[in-house]
Amino acid sequence: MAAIAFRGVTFGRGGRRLLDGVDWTLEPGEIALATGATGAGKTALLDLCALETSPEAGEIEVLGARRAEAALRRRIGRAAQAPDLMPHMTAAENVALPLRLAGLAPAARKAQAEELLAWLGLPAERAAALPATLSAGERRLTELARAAAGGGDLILLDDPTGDLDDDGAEKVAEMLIALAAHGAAVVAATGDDAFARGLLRRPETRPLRLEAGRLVGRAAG
Amino acid sequence: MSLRARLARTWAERRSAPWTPPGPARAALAACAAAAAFAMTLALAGGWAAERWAGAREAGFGRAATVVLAEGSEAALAAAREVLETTPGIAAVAEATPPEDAEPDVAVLAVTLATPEGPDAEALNLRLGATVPGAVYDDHAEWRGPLLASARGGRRLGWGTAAAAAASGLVVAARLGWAAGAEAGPAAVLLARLGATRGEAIRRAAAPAAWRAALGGALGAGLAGAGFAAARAMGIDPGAGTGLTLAPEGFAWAGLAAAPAALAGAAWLGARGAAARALGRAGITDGRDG
Repeated sequence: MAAIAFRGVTFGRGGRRLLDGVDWTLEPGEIALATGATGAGKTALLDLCALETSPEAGEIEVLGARRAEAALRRRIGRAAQAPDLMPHMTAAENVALPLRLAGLAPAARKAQAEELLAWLGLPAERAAALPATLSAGERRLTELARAAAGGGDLILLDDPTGDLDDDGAEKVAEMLIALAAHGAAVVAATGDDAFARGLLRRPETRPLRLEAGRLVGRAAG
Repeated sequence: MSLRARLARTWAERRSAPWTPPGPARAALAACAAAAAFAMTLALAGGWAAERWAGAREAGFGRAATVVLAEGSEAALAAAREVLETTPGIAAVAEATPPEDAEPDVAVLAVTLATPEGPDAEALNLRLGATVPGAVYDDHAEWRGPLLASARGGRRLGWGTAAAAAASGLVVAARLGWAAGAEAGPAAVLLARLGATRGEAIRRAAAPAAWRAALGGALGAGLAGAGFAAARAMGIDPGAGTGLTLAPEGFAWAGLAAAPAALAGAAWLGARGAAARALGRAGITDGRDG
């Protein structure tokens, strides 16, 4: 079963038609790298993939579901363009939030969150800091770690390398490849050419360019 | 999971960060709930005091009647007693002291009625007149009515004030609860996006507001209760022990718990509404209205 299946999807925002009768599928273990000009609809595409927005026409199936109910949301890890972190929780507590919702014991989720942050390059003392004291790049890494922490079957990332240096971007690319290797489907919208070029060398990556209401270079279907 | 493991887990979870961030509306809720509970408790105590006052007036005057005997011999008193004691609607008869300006031979019997309506005054006067000439039954209808009306008015005023204070407090708690829920709305949306059900996200956003209102309310009601108790202990409650005191008596003390509980309920409903609206706006409906 495809992780995401678009069938004849038409969608617009702000009076602009972003998708026009698009058919597209993404399989588990694949990375779709969505690129396009500003305003081309990359964020809207992610909203559609999360089933948070309904298309004007056509049908979208995500992990076998057509509605974004809690059972589906638990299987989706998502990082927004502007990191959305709980201001009163440390970076590690933010990362551990999906694990806490899933009922994991405090010690186990703390260890898992810190390990994930360390792997992405955030040291332990920064993992214990509140978001207000983190740099923009550290906040970005925290949100990416949280998206990955839930062990989701679908990872949706909007501009994942924004605010990150080259090393950070490389770590993010490694994380996406590792997630895909574990069977997750990944959709990443990016305007970072170097990051995109690096990922596109990988066999699991499918280019996806939004252009005049069409998905050019689609993965399949 | 064993009970010990459960307790250990619960303790560990209590040390975790709260699910939603604190905010000014939530902080204001505690202070306002304390003030509202204090006012509600005073007003409730006022309502009870009015109830007791009205009850005392009704008992004291509402069922009182007299029989005046022009000639108060033992025989006349016994005959009048017999008539009264065999009349339906009369609960008790006792000899009373005549007014100071009464004739020397006059005797007075105080009659307690079984019901506020009492017996048929005209028929009773006919029976008394036939048995004890000069005996007159007086149910004091001309002044009993206004007294009962004033008792009813006092009761209405007391409970009306209590109801108005309670309504104002609940509206304030609900509005601040709404503000606290709106403040926690983005956190509720985030929790839902991370996999919480809509109900769980709403609960996580609304529960702190309800707890704040309950704690603030308990503080306010506790202060009012302590004030009543201290005033009584210091002897500055002139009505103590007479049934006319402002301090709650008997089970009415339990009513102090009503204000915090009601305020918490109102805050919880307000916060739930605001959190549900935030989730709805974010498109998270879990099949409710989406």
